[in-house]
Amino acid sequence: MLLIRLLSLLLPPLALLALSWSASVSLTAWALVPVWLCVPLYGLLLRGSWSVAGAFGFGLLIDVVLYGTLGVWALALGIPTLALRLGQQRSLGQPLWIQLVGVAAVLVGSNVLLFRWLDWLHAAPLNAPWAPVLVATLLWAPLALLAERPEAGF
Amino acid sequence: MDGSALPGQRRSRRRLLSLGIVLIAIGAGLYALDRSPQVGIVEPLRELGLALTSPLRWLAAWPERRRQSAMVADNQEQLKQDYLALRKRTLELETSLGQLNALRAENTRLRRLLQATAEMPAELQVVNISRMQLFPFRHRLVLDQGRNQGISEGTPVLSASGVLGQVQQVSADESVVVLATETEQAIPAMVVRNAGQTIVHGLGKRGLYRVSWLPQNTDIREGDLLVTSGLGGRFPAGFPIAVVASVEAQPGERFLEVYARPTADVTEQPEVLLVRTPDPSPQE
Repeated sequence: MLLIRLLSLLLPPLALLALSWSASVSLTAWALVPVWLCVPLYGLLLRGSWSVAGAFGFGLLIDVVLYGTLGVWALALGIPTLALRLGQQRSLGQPLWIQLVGVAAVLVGSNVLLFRWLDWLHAAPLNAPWAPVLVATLLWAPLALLAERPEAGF
Repeated sequence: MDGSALPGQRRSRRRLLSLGIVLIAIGAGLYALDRSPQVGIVEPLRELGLALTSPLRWLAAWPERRRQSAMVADNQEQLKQDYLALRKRTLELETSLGQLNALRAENTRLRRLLQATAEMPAELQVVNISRMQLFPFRHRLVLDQGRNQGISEGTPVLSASGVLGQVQQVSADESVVVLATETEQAIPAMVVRNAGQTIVHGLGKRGLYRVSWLPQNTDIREGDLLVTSGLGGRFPAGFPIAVVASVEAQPGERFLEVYARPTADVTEQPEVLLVRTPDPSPQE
């Protein structure tokens, strides 16, 4: 539990550092894995309001660091975290595979809605790589197992 | 909502939902404001964010800086040889420049005789690339100079082998270049072989442009060089953009389907050239 709490504190700055470093070389889809991983982590471990506000604020920082349109990453991380948090009580009582399907649906839905559809309206669709979403979904399982009492939060 | 939930849980759920709705509204508002070119109120927020994350970005760039300084230290002999080769090359270019100046003077005189638009005088500024963001659909460069170094929005950006794009955002010490290969980008162009006018559009794919609005009977072939035409006043005339890669005439279509490969490769050099003209605003 201590390890996962430490990870949840360190992961956002580490994700941003990895993203900045990767952007200084050549930004690839894999650089986004730690960013997407922050969604289940926030959803699992932080207290209700903090989880959504944290994910939103972290997304806004990514928008700034990547010189992207403000709000895109903020919404992309904030909305799925809100959805995960709202459905957390029910989903954690379910078998792990049902949880994984739920997390996958939330992340994939967010990817499609915000990166493909919303920006498509402006004829400039953003890239929405699938690998980071997939990795973040699969990592939900060990995270959920490690977080013994996620409802306790911090 | 779960009917069996305790009042405390319900309250916390409602609070969470309210916060979520507020944040979604803020996010959507920021998105709309940032997408609207007329409204510049999000810029202070962006600059604040950049200032806050500057230690992080400095830290992230540290390994690359160390690698480059180590390379310089390890390659003294190579640098000496490069320096001598460059001196030789400079001498050769200076000799050619004398001839070019004479040709330019003659060209200006002839243009005046034809009452054509005078060429814009251009001054080149060399700027280092600090980051590349080469996603599909999103092709951006971040340069290590900004407003404090005299860079302004709309400045054309070149590499040694052709046009790359233009500066889209400028902060105090950084600027963002949107490459011409990105969607929604277009450059007025001219076919060198026959001076035919056209427009080169970005497709969101690296290494490919679409050449638009060419009627079926247009004289254009594979291998034709396209250069900036200077129309619109944004890009000075005569800089290479692309080489025509394919020309197809589809039956029943009014226009040709033409694709071209950019002459410039963004990854070829660690720096770019900014073209500074007296007035970069469009001249109608």
